Amino acid sequence: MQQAEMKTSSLGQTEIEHWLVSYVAQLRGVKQEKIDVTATFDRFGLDSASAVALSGDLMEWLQCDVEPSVIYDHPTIRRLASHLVTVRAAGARG
Amino acid sequence: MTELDMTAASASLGASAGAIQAHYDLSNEFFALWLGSTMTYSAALWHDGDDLATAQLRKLDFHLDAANARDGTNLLEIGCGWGSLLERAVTKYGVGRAVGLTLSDAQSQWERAARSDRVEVRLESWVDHAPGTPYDAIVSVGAFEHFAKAGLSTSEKQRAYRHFFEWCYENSAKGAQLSLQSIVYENYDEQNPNPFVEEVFPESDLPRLSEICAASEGLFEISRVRNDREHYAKTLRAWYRALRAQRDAAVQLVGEATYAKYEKYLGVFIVGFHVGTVNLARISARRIDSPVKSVRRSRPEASLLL
Repeated sequence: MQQAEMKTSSLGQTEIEHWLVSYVAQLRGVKQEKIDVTATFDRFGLDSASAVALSGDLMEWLQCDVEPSVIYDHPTIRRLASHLVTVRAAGARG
Repeated sequence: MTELDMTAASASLGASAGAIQAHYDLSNEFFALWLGSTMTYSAALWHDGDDLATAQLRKLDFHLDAANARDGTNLLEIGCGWGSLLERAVTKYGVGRAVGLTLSDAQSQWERAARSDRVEVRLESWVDHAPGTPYDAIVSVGAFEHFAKAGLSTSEKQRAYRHFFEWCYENSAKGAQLSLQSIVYENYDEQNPNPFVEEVFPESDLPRLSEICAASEGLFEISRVRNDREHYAKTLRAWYRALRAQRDAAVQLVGEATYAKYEKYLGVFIVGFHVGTVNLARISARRIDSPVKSVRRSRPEASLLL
């Protein structure tokens, strides 16, 4: 997957948002333009199993811990990306 | 209906031994990879700073205290898993006798290896268990989830739960204390069940807190209820991390497909407890020794007359 080859060290809000948009679009079988980064994930029909799969894929991509319940605490693409930026920054410092 | 028929009818209301074994007999070594040193497969009780093992022992102590386990107590555990509570009851609380029931062959074999002579593990359902002496204390942690089969009508489900409390009543001594822990439906629509859960735990349906309370009415006085879903979410997170960390060893033991199923199941349950689809009830109760209403066994055929 092209995204997976992206260098993870330089990832910021924009890159993570873009990855999430493309992920959700592919999952729902819709065009990326249709994905609103401020809409809540339940609008895209993500159930708990998709939430778990997403967190697993994020862990693999970002090489950091991501809770399976993360989209319920950070329920839009924008907020989730922001959270992930913070988590990665904390991880890099640690 | 004879006593034997009645037993058979009641037994068929809960998950079968085969269904229990389908989950719990998978591989003791596999469960040991992620359940941690206590081999305790239920929600822990967390205080700040606890690691998983400490929180699991705190949970065992919570139930043994609630059941008033002490020197000389004749204790029963219904659904004893790999025996951590029985061992704790003997070593820390000094109970006289600790009997554990399980329907999992693998669990009963595991316990057999390390058991004290005051511990007795039986591969038997409570429905079929006929103790010589009534119990002073009954604990059941993470078994009530299997007492009603999926697909029962509301009244059949209620009857299955009622039968459990009647059994506990008839087989316990005056002043006996009961301590239960069960996953319960919370913000959940039973009309729209999650088929994946059925795949992981075949045949089993969950109770609601209100169903447990109704089923115990007149037999046991509930003295305390805790709803601890965040404790289960935290426990599951620890298992989930441990399982992922042991991925290679786990796949070696159970194969890729089963590994993936467990990783998904633990993740889905984390979400369920985190958002409150399900909750975790811990219920302490004492036996009502002189009930004002006569305590009669609810006969399976009685529902036909309603």
